Amino acid sequence: MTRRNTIILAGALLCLIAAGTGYYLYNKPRTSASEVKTDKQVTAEKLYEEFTKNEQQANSLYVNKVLEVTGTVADVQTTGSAVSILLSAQAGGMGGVNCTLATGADGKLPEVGHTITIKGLCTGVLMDVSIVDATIINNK
Amino acid sequence: MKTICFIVLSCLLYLQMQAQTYVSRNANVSFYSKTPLEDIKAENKQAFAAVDLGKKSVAFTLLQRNFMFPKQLMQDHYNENYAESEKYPKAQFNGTITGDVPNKPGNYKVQVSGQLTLHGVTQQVQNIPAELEIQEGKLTAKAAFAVKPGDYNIKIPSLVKDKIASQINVQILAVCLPAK
Repeated sequence: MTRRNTIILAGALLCLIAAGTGYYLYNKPRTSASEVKTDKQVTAEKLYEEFTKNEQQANSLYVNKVLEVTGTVADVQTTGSAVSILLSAQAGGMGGVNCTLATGADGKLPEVGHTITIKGLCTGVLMDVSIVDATIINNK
Repeated sequence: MKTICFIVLSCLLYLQMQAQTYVSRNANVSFYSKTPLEDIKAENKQAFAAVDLGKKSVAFTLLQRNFMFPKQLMQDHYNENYAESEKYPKAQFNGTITGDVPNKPGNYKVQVSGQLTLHGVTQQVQNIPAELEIQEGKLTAKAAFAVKPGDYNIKIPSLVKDKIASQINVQILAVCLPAK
């Protein structure tokens, strides 16, 4: 094989690897929060309190982070195929930590009053602190 | 004693039936872009919705980061380049209902008009066809409308212009309970 052919072959191989990598990255499924290492562990009360006290600071601490949140179940709601669990944040208060379970993570649902730990991605605060793509990791 | 209990329960039931405001913290908002090159779909299962039948008003608010895409790259591009979720974390809609919706079981076809704020830009949205169903104390709201990214100053790079529809179809499903 001549030197020229070797260079062409190496170039073609590199192009093929680059195209394959690009194709893989483009089609890569969304990374589930359950597969990612937990960034922080926090109670529902503390998480809600920090967002209500200083939203901007809480955003920088928690948003886009994978959290393990422990709290008491205040409500379990099913809308279509989506299951959301509201963790209570304050006695008698309206707000809480609203956790939407990832598709397929809704096996055994907790009951109101149970203390559970949920792992998921924190996305910010609306009426409640929002956790999405969640899985229940400890259902006592 | 039984009579008192019956009266109290009847009053509570009556008040529940008279509830005019319905809310949901888990409304579903999804959007769909269809082009010959690519279909893009995302779903947000945590929109907050409030429907007040007395005032005939409707309000929605959601976090942009709650939109879940099937592909990681789509999700990253949406938050970083298009919605700019860090700069504009929330989108909201405030509107009014046209059409009669008595607060009793039934299916009511109405129209909704109002202001949609997205990517820091507020635009008037007119006559969205919607359906409100009241059954077993719940109000289910369904609506569909189209959004043009350009109207909200969302710039699509020419490299991916053929992969993103010029009009994005938005669908809403909210199962609301009487406000406590």
